[in-house]
Amino acid sequence: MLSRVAENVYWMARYLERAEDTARLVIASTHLLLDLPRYVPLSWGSMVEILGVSMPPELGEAPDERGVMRFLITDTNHPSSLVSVVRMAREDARVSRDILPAEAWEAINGLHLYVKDNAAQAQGRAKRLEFLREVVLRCQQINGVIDGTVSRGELYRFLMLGQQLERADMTTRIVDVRAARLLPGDSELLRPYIGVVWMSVLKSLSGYEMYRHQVQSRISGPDVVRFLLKDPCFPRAVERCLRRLAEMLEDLPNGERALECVGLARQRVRSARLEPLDLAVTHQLIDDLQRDFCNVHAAIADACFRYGGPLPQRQALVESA
Amino acid sequence: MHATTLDALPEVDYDELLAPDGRPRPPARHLMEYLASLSSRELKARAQAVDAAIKTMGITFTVYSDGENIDRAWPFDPIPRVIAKREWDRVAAGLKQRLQALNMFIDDIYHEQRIVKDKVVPAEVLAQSKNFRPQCVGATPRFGAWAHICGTDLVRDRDGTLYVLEDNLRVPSGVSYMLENRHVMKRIFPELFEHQDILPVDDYCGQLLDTLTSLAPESVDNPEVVVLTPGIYNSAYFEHAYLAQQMGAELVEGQDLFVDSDDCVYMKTTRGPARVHVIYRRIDDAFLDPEVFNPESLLGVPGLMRAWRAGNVAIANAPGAGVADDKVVYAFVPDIIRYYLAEEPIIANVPTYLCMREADRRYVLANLDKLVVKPANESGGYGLLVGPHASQAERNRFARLIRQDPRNYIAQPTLRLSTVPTLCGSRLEPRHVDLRPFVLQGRELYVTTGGLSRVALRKGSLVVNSSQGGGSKDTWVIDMGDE
Repeated sequence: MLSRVAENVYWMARYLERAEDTARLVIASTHLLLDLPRYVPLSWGSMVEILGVSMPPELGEAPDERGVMRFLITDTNHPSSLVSVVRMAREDARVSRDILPAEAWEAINGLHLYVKDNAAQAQGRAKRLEFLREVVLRCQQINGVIDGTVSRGELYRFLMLGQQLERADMTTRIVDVRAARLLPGDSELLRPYIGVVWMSVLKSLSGYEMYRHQVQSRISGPDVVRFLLKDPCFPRAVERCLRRLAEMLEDLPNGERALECVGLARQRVRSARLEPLDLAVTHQLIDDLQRDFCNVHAAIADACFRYGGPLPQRQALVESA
Repeated sequence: MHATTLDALPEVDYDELLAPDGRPRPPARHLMEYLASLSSRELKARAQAVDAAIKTMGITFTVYSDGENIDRAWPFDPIPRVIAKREWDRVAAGLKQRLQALNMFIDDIYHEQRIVKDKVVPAEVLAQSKNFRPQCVGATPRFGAWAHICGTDLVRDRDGTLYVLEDNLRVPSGVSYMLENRHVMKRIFPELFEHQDILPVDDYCGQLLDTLTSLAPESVDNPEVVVLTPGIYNSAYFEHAYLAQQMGAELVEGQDLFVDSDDCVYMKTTRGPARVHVIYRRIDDAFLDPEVFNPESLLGVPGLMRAWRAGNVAIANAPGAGVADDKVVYAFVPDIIRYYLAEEPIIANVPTYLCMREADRRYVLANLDKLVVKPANESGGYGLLVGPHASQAERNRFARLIRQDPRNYIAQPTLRLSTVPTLCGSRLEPRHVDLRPFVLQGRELYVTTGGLSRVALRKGSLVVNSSQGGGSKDTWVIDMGDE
């Protein structure tokens, strides 16, 4: 496969995963808001933090729902907004049309048209949820088409590398922010709602049912974090994503360095002690993991996209790891 | 009034579907009966389904400098143009004859120039040709074929005669729309395909791949064919990606290729360099190789001409093939056919006045209000004068241009292009069309079944280019058996 094309489909998969994860995060957070009593402060800004971008100054000190939603969903000037990542995924798909199955292209193009035409109306909560659910469904449809029609070769490999890396990254971000910052300390006020918040974390990763099945006890913070980081079977758990990455990297030419970085990250996840849940330790772990992910990306780019020359400048999804 | 009743036809025009008495021509009978059976509401619903299909299928063309929205939906009219197979067979034979002769001409021009020595084509025609490339003299592409993919524009005048208007031998585009138009029609009007023999158009990409493969250097068993595109901002990018996909060839940009010290072409892949044997290039000669042509070009590949001359890579169309894509050379094509093939041309040329000939020039200058004047080397309908519609000032300007550079101008009588009923709102109205079939020459010759029908969507307009308000129609070649 052409290096340039490999890079495009890798990014396409990252953007699509990013779009789906953003939609899931906003859906789950909106639900959480409905469950919490009004005197418990939920920070809308925490969602911006999860996505790893700095808060735009115009949103002010304590950004409100409307401002954050516009920033995360419809703001075309913001490269990580849902509208922007879908547009970039579609651009990458457009330049890769010659190798994508027609159904995959049509599904991605359809997602783009849907988002473009409907994002602006997604301001009110009811409409917004409907809109985001449709986005998630369409992303799943695209993944289904890819799973059912793309041969297990180079194209599939680079799609999976992009998807799994983005997914692992997103899971760690959600765990980090929700565990450490959503609820500052377990105050008496919040104690009854801790379970609800952790449930929302699981739901934002569509992991509630799988978690229930796996962990047959009351929902607890340490169990949820362990499940999302270490579970070998849940598709959005970090360990599972890393394993998939390792599989995809195994026979990649010059892939040794990237494989090494993945191995390091897996080692880190496996050896992490999560009980009792210490926020400082978790935060450090996640910082280290995100640095690992950056290294994996750099190693893949070096081995496959660069071809001796400088890497073309890409709009980074996050400003810092 | 019923949706499909056509207003009385202007008497001067030839309609492709309807005879002058308003009754359908034989190959269009089934189609017109079907259309008459649809209520205007049904027809409109189908037309909307067509637009939706084009949008989701992502059939687009790109408009230069159109701000953010550079990728536009392809304008398509659902009423097809219909041609009887018997007529088409004759046209196809004529197109093959024409391309074969043109390739013999190009090959001769870059070798002995017998046709000039024999005084069939004057030397000054070549001496001043902008598309003659001295760098190509003596090159020997396989089968003597230089123009491998040719898009020939045909028009029908009011008397019903089909003429060749232009031979596009550089990088003709439009074939992907011909293929997609058929897909859209089958998706939206499946019942039309049940009861008549509409010949399929699908095998073009297979034929194109065979043609390209046949050009590979002889020693290669499994040639690697690539499509070279200038990139996503090119107006035909959709087509480049489409053809690459349909052929299973890599779609490459100049930056993906390099020529190594062995004078072979390689592409940069995730597994290292991979040899390329055939390049279907969709960029102009001038940008192909900055070492030889435009040194500023970022679209091309340094060293490509070296590799081509060494016979290590085939380029389609070959560099320099555009020498025959010149409106002055066009005027000589009937003579070129007679000279190389000793045959009479099967399809006529539009009568053409060469301003370089003194008698012609006098006639042209005296009749600018009746003629269409074209520069020899432009395409896409740019830079021409349509005498009857032009202002006096404009005609004066062209008279000056012609006197300054007579070699660069030709003139032709203003043709009344034939019409096809076209959906305008919820009614059918006649609109002018042309037809661009695609002709291939490698080891063998091939002609598409029909071609791309382009339609001027504005009332009375004769300009069919999609960049200037044109649309397109599906084109049916119908086998009516013994009828």
